[in-house]
This record gives sequence, C-alpha cells and structure tokens, in this order.
Amino acid sequence: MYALHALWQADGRLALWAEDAQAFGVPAREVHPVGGSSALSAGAARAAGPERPVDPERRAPKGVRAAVHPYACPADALARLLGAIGPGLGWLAEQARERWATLLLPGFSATPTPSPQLPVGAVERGVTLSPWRVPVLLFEAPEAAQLLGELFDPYCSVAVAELPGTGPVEVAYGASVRWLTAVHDLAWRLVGRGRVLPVLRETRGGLHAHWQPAPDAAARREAEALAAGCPPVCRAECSPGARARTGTELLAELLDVLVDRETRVALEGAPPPLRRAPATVAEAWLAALHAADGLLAPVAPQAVPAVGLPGSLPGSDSASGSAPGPALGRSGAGADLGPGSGVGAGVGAGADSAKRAAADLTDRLAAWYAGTPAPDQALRLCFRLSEPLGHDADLPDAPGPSAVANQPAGDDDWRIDFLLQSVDQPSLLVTAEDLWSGGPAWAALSRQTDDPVGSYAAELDRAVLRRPELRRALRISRPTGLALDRAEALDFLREAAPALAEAGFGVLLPAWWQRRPRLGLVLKAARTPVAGALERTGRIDRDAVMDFRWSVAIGELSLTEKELAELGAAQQGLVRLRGRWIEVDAKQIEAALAFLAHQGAGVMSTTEVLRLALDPTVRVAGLPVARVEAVGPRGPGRGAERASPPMLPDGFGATLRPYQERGLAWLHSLARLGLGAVLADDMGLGKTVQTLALLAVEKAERSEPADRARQAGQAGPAEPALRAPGTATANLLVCPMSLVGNWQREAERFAPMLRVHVHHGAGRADGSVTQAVADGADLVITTYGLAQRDADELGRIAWRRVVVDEAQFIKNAATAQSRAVRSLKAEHRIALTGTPVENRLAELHAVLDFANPGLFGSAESFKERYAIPVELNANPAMTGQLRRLAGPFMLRRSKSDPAIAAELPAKQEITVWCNLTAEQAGLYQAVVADLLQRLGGVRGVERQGAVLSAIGRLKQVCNHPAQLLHDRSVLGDRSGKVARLEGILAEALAEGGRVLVFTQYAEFGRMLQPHLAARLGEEVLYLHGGVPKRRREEMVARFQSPDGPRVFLLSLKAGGTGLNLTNANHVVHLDRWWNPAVEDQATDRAFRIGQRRDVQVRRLVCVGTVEERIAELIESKRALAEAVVGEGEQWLGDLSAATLRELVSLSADAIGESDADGAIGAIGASEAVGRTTGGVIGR
Amino acid sequence: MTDAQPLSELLDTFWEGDFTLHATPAAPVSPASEPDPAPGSAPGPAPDPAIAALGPSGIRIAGRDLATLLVPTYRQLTEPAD
Repeated sequence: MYALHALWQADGRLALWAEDAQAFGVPAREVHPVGGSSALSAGAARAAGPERPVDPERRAPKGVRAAVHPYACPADALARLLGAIGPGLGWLAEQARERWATLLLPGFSATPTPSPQLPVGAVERGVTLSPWRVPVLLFEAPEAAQLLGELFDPYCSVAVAELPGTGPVEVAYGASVRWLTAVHDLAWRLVGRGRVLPVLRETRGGLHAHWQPAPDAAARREAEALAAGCPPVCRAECSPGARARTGTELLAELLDVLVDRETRVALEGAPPPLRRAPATVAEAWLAALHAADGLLAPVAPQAVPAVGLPGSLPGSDSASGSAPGPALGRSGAGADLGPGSGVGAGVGAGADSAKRAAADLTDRLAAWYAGTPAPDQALRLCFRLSEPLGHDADLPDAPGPSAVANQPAGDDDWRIDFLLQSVDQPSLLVTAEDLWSGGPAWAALSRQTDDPVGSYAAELDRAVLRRPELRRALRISRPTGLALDRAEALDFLREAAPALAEAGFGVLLPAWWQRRPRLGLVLKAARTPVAGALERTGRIDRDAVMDFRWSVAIGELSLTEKELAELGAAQQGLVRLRGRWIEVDAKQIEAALAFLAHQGAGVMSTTEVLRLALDPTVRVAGLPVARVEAVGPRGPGRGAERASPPMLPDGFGATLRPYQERGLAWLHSLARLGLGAVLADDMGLGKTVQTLALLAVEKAERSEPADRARQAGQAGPAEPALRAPGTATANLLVCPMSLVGNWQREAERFAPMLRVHVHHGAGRADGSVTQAVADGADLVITTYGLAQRDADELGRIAWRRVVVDEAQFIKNAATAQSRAVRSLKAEHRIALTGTPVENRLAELHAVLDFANPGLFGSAESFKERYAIPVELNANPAMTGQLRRLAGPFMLRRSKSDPAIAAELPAKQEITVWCNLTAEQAGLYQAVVADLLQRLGGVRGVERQGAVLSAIGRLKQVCNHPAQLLHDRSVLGDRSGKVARLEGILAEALAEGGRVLVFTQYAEFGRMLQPHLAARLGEEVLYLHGGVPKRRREEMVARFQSPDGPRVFLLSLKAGGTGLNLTNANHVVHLDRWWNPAVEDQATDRAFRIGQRRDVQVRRLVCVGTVEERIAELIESKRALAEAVVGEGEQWLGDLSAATLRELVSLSADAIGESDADGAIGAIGASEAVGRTTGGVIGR
Repeated sequence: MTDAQPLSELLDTFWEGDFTLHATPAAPVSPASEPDPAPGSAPGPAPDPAIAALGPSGIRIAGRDLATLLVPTYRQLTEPAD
C-alpha cells in the first residue's frame, strides 16, 4: 500500500512523493535512496523495467540538516507506480524529473510519523516537526496541470495500481493530492466559464502573455473556503530563512498557474485572433495568448503598418493597417522584445521602446479590467497611506539639518490600510480590520449592503486588477492592508494612487503630499560695488553687474551643500528632512549638484537678475528658479500702483482724478526703481497729464528731495537726492507730428514750471539739439520722423527719460524709425499707447521691450512662448502667465471699467491741439496779411464783412488747404487737424466706440467723407442740410443700430437739432461755431437722457491760431458767453484792430514739421489766397 | 484560520484538510443554481465571460478593439467545438 502526497513548490512545480507501507518499520539503513527500494520487491523492480537515471541533485537546502525519509518511495518506483495505475499517469511520470525535496514533517523519536492514509496500524502521534528529504517526481506546470486533472476523483480517494509481478496494490491519495486536485478543478471550471482575463507579464524569460483567474463572487467564496481548508502538509516545503506560505498564498499561486495552463489547453487548435505575423508588441501579445508557452515572439524590425493605442499617436489607428506608425503608443516600429530575438539583444532603442509599449499595454489592460464601480454600488473601497511615525521637527530633540544621512530604519515602515466607505453616507468609513472583527462596524455596513464582506472582496479584486502590486495583501485570508517600504510608498503615491482614484476608489494620502514642495534654485544677488561711484540704493541700474550665488531649496527649505550632497548619495525618492517628508527627484538632485559645482557663483547683469526674478517659468540648467533674493532694489512689487502718489508741485495746472493719481504713483514708483513703464490707458483718460505730472514731480524733487519725501508721507527714510552731479534732467518726448501741438499746450497748461523745447518745424532750422539745449530744458518734444533723421544728434545726448507717445509707431522693431528711437540713451523709458496691445503680442513685446530693453527676451522667444497659446489657442494658463509677467510694467485702465467710469465726468470735454502743416501755415499767413492790409481802408459794415470773411477763411485753412482753395485737390496729409482726426477716429474705433464728427462746413464734410472712409476702411455716414428727411432718418437708424456704421459726419446745422444719436460715445468738433450754445446742442445729440455711456467730447483747435485765441476767450467768459459773443459770430467783426491782430496772428509754434518747400509754400499760399478772395464763406 | 497558522501548531491535523471536491459536470445551468452542488446534482453555473461586463476596451490592435478581438477566444473557452 502506498500513500501518495503532493507539494506545490515555491518554484512553481509540482512534487509528487509517496510513502511505502512496506518500508515502514524497516531499519533506515536498509533503505536505498537511489534506484530501487525495499518497498518494491526485487522481482517487481526487475519486472518494472530498467532503472531510470537519477539526477545527482540530492542535497538538502543549504543550512538544513535533513535525513532521508526512511519509508518514502524512491522516485523511479513512484514513476512505475503511476504507470501501473494508468497509461496517462505513466506517460506523465516519464515527463517528470526525479529529484529530492525537503519537507517539514511531524515525527516522533527521530522518525517521521506516517500519514493517516498509510495503513500501518497505530503509531505515536508526531510531536515534533523536522525536515526530511524525500524522493519526488517533479512536474513542470503543463504536466502538473494534466496530472492533477488525471488524479481528480471526487468519489474515490484510492486508486489501484497493477504492478507487474506484484499484482494490484492500493494507492491512497493523501489530503494534499486531493486538495491540489480540488484547486485544479476550480481552475478548470473558471476557464470553462470564461472567468479569465489576459494580461502581460514580464519575467526573466521575457514578456509573457498570461491568463489570470477572474473569479466572480461564488468562485471567490469557493477559493476562500479551499484556502481555509488547505491541509498543512501542502505548506510543508522546507525553505531555510523563508516562512511557510499561507493557504491563501498557495491557492492564489496555484490558481494563477493552473488557470493559465487550462486556458491554453482549451485554446489548442483554435485559430489565432490575428491571421498575420505580429508587427507590434500588442499583436505579439495577442498571438501569445494562444501559444503553448505564452512567450511573446520577437517582432521583426520593419516599417510595417502597426497601430497603437488611441490617444497615444494621432492617426495611429487604421482599419486598413496602411498608415505607417510605430508599435503600441510611444514605441517605435519593430520593437525587439527580448533576448534571443532575431533582431538581437541589446538594440537599445528597440528594447526600450518594446518595454515602453509593454508597460503601456499593461497599464491600459489594468485600467480596462478595473473598470469603474457599479452604479448601484453601496460601498467603496478606500486606501489610506500612513507614513512611519518618526521625529517631529517641532520636538526639542528633533534631528538637526544633517538628518538626511541618518534616516532611521523606521522610515521604511509605511502602511496602506484598507477601508470601506458608504457611497451614500461618506462619513461612514470603516477599516477592514473592524469589518473582519464584526461588531458595530460590520453592523453599520450591513445596513448599506447585504454582504459587506463580499463587496469588500470584490472591490479588492477590482483594485488588484488595476494595480497588481496590491495582490500581496491577499496572501492572508482576511486582508486589512499592506506594509510598504519607502520605495513602494513612493510608487504608490506617484503611480497607484492616481490610478486607483481614477478607477473610482477612495485614496487618502498624507496632507504633505498634496502640497509637496518642489526643488528649485535660489539666486542670491547683490550689487557689485564700483569704486568711486555714488551708491544710489533706490534705483536699479540695469547696466550694473551683480554678484550672485545659487543654492538649492525644496519649497521653503533651503538646503545646505552638505544636505544636498547627502540627498544625492541617499538615492531615495522620499526623504524625511527636518521632520518633514519630501519627494526628491534623484535626477534633479544630480543636475543641481553638477550645476552648483560649475556655475554656482559669479557675476551677472542686473537685467538678467531682474529677468530671473520676474519670469515665473524660467529654468536654469533645466531646474526651476524658486526665488531670487536680491540685495538692493527688488523690482516692482504688486503695490506700485497702490503707493502714495507724490505731491504735485505748486503751480501744477490740474487736479488729478483719483485714477490719475494712482497712475502717477505707479509711474513714480517704477521711475524710482529705474524700471520702464507702459501706460496704456484708454484714450481720453489723461495719459498726457499723468506723464506731465511725473515730470513736474521729478523736477520738484530735484529741487527739494528730502522735504518732498517727508511731506508726501512716504514710508521709510527719505531718499537721497536722485540727482547726482552729471545726471541728466531733460526728458525727450517722441510723438507723431499731429500731437506736437497738443503736448505743447498741455505742458503749458498743466506744467508751466517745465521748460519745454520743441525740436521740430521752424525752430529746428536754427540748429540741432545739443547737450546744452537739453540741459536747459525739462522737456524736449520731437517727432518720430525727426527722431530718425536726427538720430545721431539726439543719440549723443544723455536723456533722463525718453517717452514715446502712440508707441504703436515703434511696434515694428526692424524699421529705421524704431531702431532710432530705441537707440536713444536714457535712464528711464515710458511708452504711452491707447490701443489695447495686450491682444497683439508682437506690439506688446515691442512696447514692453522699449520700456525695459532685454527684460522680456527676444521677440522670437516671446512669440514662441506666448503667441500660439495666447493668440491662437486662447490658452488661459499662458494668458495668465503673460499677464503676470507684463503686469508690473504695464498699467492699463479702461473707460468701461465701472471703477474708472465712476471717476469720470458724465461728459468729458477735451481740447485737442493740432498743428498746421507748412502749407496751411503759408496760406494762413497770406490770409492774415491780406486782412490786415484791407483793414486800413475800410469802415463800418464793410470792415465787419472783411473781418468775418477773413476769419472764416482762417478757419477753413485750419481745417484743410483744399477747403480754402476749393481746388478739389486730394486731401492727402496736408492738414494737421485732419491727421489728428484720423488718429482719434482710429483709436476710438479700436476701443469699440462710435463717433459723431461735427463741422460747420458742408463743403468740408463732403471732402472729408470719402477721405475718412478710405483711411478707416469702413463706411462713414454724412448728413448735411441737403439730405432728404427719409434718408436722414435712415442714416440715424443705421448709426443707432449695433451693426451699422460707426462714424457719422454731420454739418453742425443739419445735425445740430432734432436727432437722437445716443449710440455715440465720442463727439468731435472739427471746427468751432464759437457759440457755445450751438456746440453744446450738437454735443447733446449724443449726450441725452437715456445715454448710459460716458461721452468724450473733443474740440480740435489749431495751436497758435485764431482758433486757439478765440477758444480761450470763450472759455474765460463762458458764463457770459451769450452776453459777450451774442448770437452767431457777428461780434467778431466789432473787435478792435489791435485785438484782431492779436487774435489772428500765427505763432511760431503753430506749425508742425517743416518740409523743404516751406518758404516756397508760403509764397504760393499768398497767390492762392489772392485767387480765392471773396465768396468763400457760405458755400 | 489554520491556513496561516505555523505548521508546528497544526501537528494534530497535519495530514488533513477541510474541503470538498466538486462533482459538477461541465454543462452550464441557469445562474439561479447553487454554486456548490453536491456530486451528481444539477450542472454548474453558466458561462460568464469575464470581459462580458467590461465593455469596449479602448485598446485597438490591428484596427480593432481588443474586446472584439477576444470574443472568439472566449467563445472557444465557454463553447468548445465538439
């Protein structure tokens, strides 16, 4: 009689051994461990056939002293025994190898006790567990599965072997054999029901396709029962230093192997899923699912159409398979899969891409299998990661800064606890430990679902599908969690936690992980002292150099060099540093160490320091810059606008509105720091007055610096004098020709204390702007054209500041004009622009770069970083980043901002000063000369007529030469007023405004309409007295409609009354009726009750002409306007000759840029005036 | 649970196990049947392929979804040709 036993070894092979009843009781010395044994008679042994060669491996595991089992059946005899039971078993036995195994078996008195299946009578109960070496037949997995299937018999546990020469002998199946066959049966049934899932695994032999069990609830229960009932003898493999596997572990291993084997058996002969040779890792895996060994075949390196996974490669999926592409997501085509492939091992790129492809497939399969929780699921599995308890940084004995190297061993004691949470009642959160222990926790969960344990097990299985590394937790029958070391904890944090969360599991992580600090470089910079130079602590000198030193910080923690080196040496991803856990990227540490070693200290320009400080995305040597600590001026803070505005000097001719005071404060702050500014307020908000205020303040500060600082109540000690000997004081303003007059007049009006020099027109003919001229002026005004033409002269002067008005004139950095302006040397720069540049990045960079050269990198890098994401994609993150980068240097207020609108008057009246062109000036002077000549010879009504006629002609000249000459000539650029009008209209339309333009002259309106339409590129409506009523109503309706024309030109008479044009928010009076009531009436066409938007009213006035002087007269006497001026303009004719001469004479500053033909133009103008005498007014 | 107890504590039951061998034949039955039928009783549970409840995989191989590609394989497992 024999008792047959089996052992599933840790190496994944089945060891079959047997006890021989006949050998029991025979002295051990008579037992031969090799060849035949006394258990089989010699005759039976001879009849059984020749002895089979025995593998010499018979040593017990190292360190184990084990004796040979005295009555274990020799392996060859066992093989003959199996053959005697049946041919199938006999064949299987021939495939097996004869080996020895060491088992822990109960014994008594140095003898192993026999199993109950061996009928040897009563024996002493085994009281000790000792290792015994037994001969075994070792079966590989395929044969093992087959053997177990053959041995399975639910009805009978004894077989009969017909031994030749001996006759029938009984072979009792021990509990271990029966248990293993039960597990095999479960595996077989799982396969038969399709409860299997294919996965990809990497082993020493390469990549394997594997079928793993996917038990449902019933199968899970059956498996748990089998595990619980596992005979201890199945766990008796003796492995020194290793603990015995639990029944649960053993069952899981067995099922895993047996399910795979039985699936392959079931698929034998079935057609493979793909009919062609695999060309990708995924295809190879699919094919290997049907192969006998599951090993992925090497994929040939060819440019075959291979498709990958969606979302990984655009256009990679092709039903026809004709689109070339790499294999499986990120890999390249023709990936070499493992050693022994046709491609050859060590093909780096191929092997790497195959690995990546395999990892990608593994991940996607896991995600698919884990799926999402069922919609009606009552309980959710949660994973809670706990860090090891350790020293707290706040405790008195907390380790010091060198704690990195001496990490306590407990730092590897991490744990994941499993919890169950009610989906409907999230506050019901129970640990698995409490669930298993029953009691209130189990009761509470039972109210949510009938089978909380089953739900838990199912969810755990689902989690294991998603993250196979959790399988370790299933080694015990009642899993409650998982112990992790530090590396595993980091992997859980980085990889598993997001994947589990995505799959619908709850994940509870330590708070510090959510806000873990990043490694970054810290730059410390201090101004390099220059011998003999006056130290100006308040200002950033962008040309200066600074000493710098880099260090490394993790979040707020600055690391010493020692700590950094220790972190690098520790090679740990999670480190407790000064009591806090931080994530450490070893590659970054390495890069930081290398960087500090070679470039850790030196000198760099202030501009570079500023750029590092301001750009939140900057990286140095691939590492982010965490912060810049500069000793000295730190650059603009966010509160620059909120700084107290400086006191305006006495004599400043305006009271600033609150937002203008804030603008001044901002400009002043930046100027003190030496940082350029871009003031981009909407038109009409007073960029000019704010700029002039700054100049006035600085001039006053130069005179009384300390007192001004104290009076202004500025925090901190008074700044030393900003002006050191030799410091420039003159500000250069560059603007379009049409704005020169406006700047002049505004400067005279608001900042009379400024010494203004206009470098243009007739004044320029006297000589160039020299340093002496600049020293004698606070403000020099010039034009873009002259800045280019006189670039050499202007470039030799050291300016305090260069201000560019209408900065879009230099938006193209490549033009000669732009280059000339940018080359001007100045301590400070301001760009003024009314157009919203923030949406036109090329212009934005141009103005920002003008104001602070080099601070924003090159135009190309700026465009590359921001143009596409912001302009094309409207990427909110990049748009926000751009705003933060440019924000400190650009101030823009909009009229539509309610806060700003609240500070504006409902009707804002603005005088726009215009210049005359040389042609206009010539004509003007000719008219004046003609008038003055006539005055001498006329009286009374005739005199009045001559005066009014001349003044009328002067008004026409101020409008446009063509209006006076009636020569139907092209308007072109012959009028400063028209040029200014075009600028105003362009700006207003760019802001989305709608404009009414009034003129006294119907003829001028007729000339202007096509000209403006061509210049603006859109329709311009024109209403005059001759327009029929129906057409007039139609025009009004069109202007009032949101999609209609945006510019409406009206003659004052036709448009002055009876119309409702409330859609306009801008009104321009081209020429004056010089009766304020008439003008106001026209203005009120737009500003009516019901008008919700603030209206800006502009009156265009030519500088130094009769327009300016009469305007002053009217303004000064506005309250008595009707009394003084009377109705119409008749009162002008009654002015005295002296007053008249004063009124009509042309000032030198009336003229804009001169042209080479200035003098000839004047003579020609007189002739032209002569031709036009009489009959001009009234057409 | 003895499956995790040290072997030295299980000498009395060393050679024994608490389990039952199933006697279910391979033919499928309705899902309502008991999962552990006694020997000779009604057939076992019906086929219930594991991928049936998963839906499309989102993994495309050779132009087709993996779930579709595996259908014949699972059919072979659950409905083997005679």
